[in-house]
Amino acid sequence: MSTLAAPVETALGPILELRGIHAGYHGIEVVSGVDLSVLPGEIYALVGPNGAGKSTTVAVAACLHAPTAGDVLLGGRVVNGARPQDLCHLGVCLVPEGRSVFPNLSVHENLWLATHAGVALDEIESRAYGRFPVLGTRRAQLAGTLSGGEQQMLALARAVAVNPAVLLVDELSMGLAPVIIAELYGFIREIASAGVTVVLVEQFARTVLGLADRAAVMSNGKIVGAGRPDEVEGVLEAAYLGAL
Amino acid sequence: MDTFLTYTVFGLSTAAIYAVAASGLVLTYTTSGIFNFAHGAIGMFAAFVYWQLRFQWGWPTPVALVVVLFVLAPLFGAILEVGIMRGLEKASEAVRVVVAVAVLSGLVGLALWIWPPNTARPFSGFYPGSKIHIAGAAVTAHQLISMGCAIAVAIGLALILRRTRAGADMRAVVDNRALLVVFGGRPDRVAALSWAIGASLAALAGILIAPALQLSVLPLTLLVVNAYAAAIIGRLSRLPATFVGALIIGLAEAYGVGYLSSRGGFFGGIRPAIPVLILFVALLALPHARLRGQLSRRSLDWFPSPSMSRAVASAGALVVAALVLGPHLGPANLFTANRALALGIVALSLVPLVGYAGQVALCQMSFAGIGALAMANTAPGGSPLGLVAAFVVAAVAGAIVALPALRLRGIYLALATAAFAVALDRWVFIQDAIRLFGRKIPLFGIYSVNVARPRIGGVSFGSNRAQLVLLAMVFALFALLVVAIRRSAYGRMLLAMRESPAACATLGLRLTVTKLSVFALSAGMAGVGGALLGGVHTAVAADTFSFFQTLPVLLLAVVGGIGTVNGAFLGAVLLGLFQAVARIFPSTNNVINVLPGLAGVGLARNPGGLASDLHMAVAGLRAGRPRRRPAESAEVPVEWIGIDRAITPADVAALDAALGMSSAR
Ligand SMILES: Nc1ncnc2c1ncn2[C@@H]1O[C@H](COP(=O)(O)OP(=O)(O)OP(=O)(O)O)[C@@H](O)[C@H]1O
Ligand SMILES: [Mg+2]
Repeated sequence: MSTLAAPVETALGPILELRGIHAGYHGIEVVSGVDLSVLPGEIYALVGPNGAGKSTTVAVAACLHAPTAGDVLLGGRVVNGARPQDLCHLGVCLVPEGRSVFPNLSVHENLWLATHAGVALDEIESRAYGRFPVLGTRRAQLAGTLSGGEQQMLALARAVAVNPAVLLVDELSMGLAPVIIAELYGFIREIASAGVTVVLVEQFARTVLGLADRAAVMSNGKIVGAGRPDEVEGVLEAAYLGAL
Repeated sequence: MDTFLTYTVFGLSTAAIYAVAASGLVLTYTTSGIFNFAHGAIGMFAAFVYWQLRFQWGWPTPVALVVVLFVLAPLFGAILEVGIMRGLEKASEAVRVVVAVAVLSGLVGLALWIWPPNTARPFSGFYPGSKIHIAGAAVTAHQLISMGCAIAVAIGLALILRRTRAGADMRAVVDNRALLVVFGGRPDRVAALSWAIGASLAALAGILIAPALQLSVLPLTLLVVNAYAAAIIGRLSRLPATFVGALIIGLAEAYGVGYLSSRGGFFGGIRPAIPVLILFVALLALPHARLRGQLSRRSLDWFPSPSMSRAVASAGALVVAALVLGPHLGPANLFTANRALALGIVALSLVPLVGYAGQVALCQMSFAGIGALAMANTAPGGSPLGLVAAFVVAAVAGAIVALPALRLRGIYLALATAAFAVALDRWVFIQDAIRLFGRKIPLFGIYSVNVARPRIGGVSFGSNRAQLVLLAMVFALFALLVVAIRRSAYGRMLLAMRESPAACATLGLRLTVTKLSVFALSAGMAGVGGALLGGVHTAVAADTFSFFQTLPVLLLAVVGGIGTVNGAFLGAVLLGLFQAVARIFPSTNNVINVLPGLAGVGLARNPGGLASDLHMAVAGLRAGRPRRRPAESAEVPVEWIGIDRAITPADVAALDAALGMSSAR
């Protein structure tokens, strides 16, 4: 389990880095100059109020959304404009906001589609069912009929089963009961200790700050504070109040 | 009983063919979101290619079949998706419909070019002459094979969709296209694959249905259109329901043949229109929420609002030009110009409807035909009241069509109006007369109808030269009307309807009135255009106003720029130019038939049309450098340091190693 407040800088530097990212929709800028650097193996939390631009930022990091300016670096290489599926093959895996499963496909078929990332189906299935046995019992059930927590488990299981190097999870806890959130956070901690870098985007900061090694607070498209969780606590209140 | 069985067998075998065609349509629509209006045309074209290989060049049947069904058709479908349809992701629904219609039109033109009509092309079914008897009904081998094909297609599609990852991809795309990208999948490849399968199914349907009628371009294209009704019954998304829909249509048509055609009278002629009538009813019966294509897309189209003084000056210039140029044109050129201007009026009528309001209707020439009939029946002497009647009757017809179609948008509206046009073609226009309100109103019948040239206030517009001036005046008048609409609150309402029907829906009643009125207005203008077109020809037949005649007018209007009066005029000029060139160089006639289609396909690149291109070019000259509209989003090249090729697993491994990552790939 990673307990270091600030992991030592490795010789290789950050695994995922955003430099001066500007992005928006239809000419309206919603992310204005975001710099972010995530070190290998750490849990990094990106928190901020509604509409701060967090989801847009991770979409840019996963090359799903083209920035208007700035660079995305993976392992020190500029990957701007790479196709998202190439990034997926390179081990960057996004679990988008909302229930990110295919509702009209069965649990099995959802995992089947994960093989696009280049991992064999039986490997994916054994990992997913091994960690979340409940999914194994629901193999033929349509994903849309799973409970919210089970859907989120499936989404996470699918992402982790393909061996990601960097896992980006947007709003893992949305709409879930605290006990389920605790279980999923436990799972996040596990995979991080196995060496996977995790970026967690959350709206409600307190719980996730207890889990993260480092965090950044976002408000109105800008990073207003970054550092160890206890360091950003101070700016949190201002950020949330400022957004009101 | 025997005859009933015979009709049932006939109905089942046609149903089988419709099912094959419709399932291809549903597959492409659900996975790519683009309704393939050219589906029938692809089937038609494939049937011709198969005829060429099998009967003309004498290839063995299996070889010809494999080449058409598994090589040429899928290739064409995939190329169509990758080359044309993929570019339409951000285009408005109207542009999507028009581009697909352009492909249809281009294929029809091409087929007429390669295989000139009026040549007998014997096309026998599989195992001609062999039949078996089931319970007293004879079933031909071809009918059995048709039914077998439908069953095979049903099983094959189920297997692909349920048992292969490509099939799972297709269903995933339908569920959530963006999420598939996150999973590392390729929605674009899924679309190309489904278009390849769809084209192959269209080809199979075309080949199966061709022996039932003579191998000829238009009927074949429209016959597969019957399958659209089945697809709509399947709500464009469900294959089993689609098969049921095909059954309903096939059987209804067969029993129609059996039990309706022996009866005379107006309804005796309804048979060929049965599938399109079912299509119309099915569209109306669709539940609201099921309709896709209600998304409000940011349209890239272009709707300038010219000043009134400028419009008056242009309109005056057009009339003066007609006065000045008339005497210098020979009879043939004069006729071409007149015809183009009359069609230009029909094109102009599309500007408020398709351009401003974004309602793609495919029956504008039907309204023109109604106008011509009104003129012929009310003003045999050329009284201007005939033109008024043409406007009023066509406008009423427009409102009658719009009323049931009020809640339809996008492809559904386009399909409903196409169904209306085809029903008129097949059933109404070719009747000798119709009884309405106790009066007998003559229709086109199978011959042509004389339409008088107007005589207004003692001035006869009988000569071709005077016709040119009259047409220019009417065009100018309508152009001013359209510009005035664009500048009015009503015009803004139309544009709002296009941009955000949802927002407009909150306006409730006003939306209904707006939609009805724009349909009526547009139909009325088209009616006047049709009446004048009749005068240009002096005698016109029903086929002048057929569904297929609407397509080039719509396409060229859109190519000119459907958002502007100038665009409609440019469309008319293009029509005239094409005709003039075809007349002077008869050998180019065939190329000309393909051009509207090609030009329409070009829209995929610039939905604003030629008028916006010209405007940009002129504005650019004024500003001293070419101006371009900004691209929606810049394409950034992949920039792997030291790697400027596709990423291979070896690269991934190298990267992993360099980063000391735990992943074992
Ligand atoms: N597809 C889109 N089109 C237009 N605007 C968008 C789109 N997606 C997001 N936005 C806008 O961008 C801004 C930032 O959105 P984003 O989803 O990145 O915020 P967020 O921090 O993730 O918020 P939340 O906590 O509510 O998820 C918002 O104002 C939102 O309205
Ligand atoms: Mg968000």
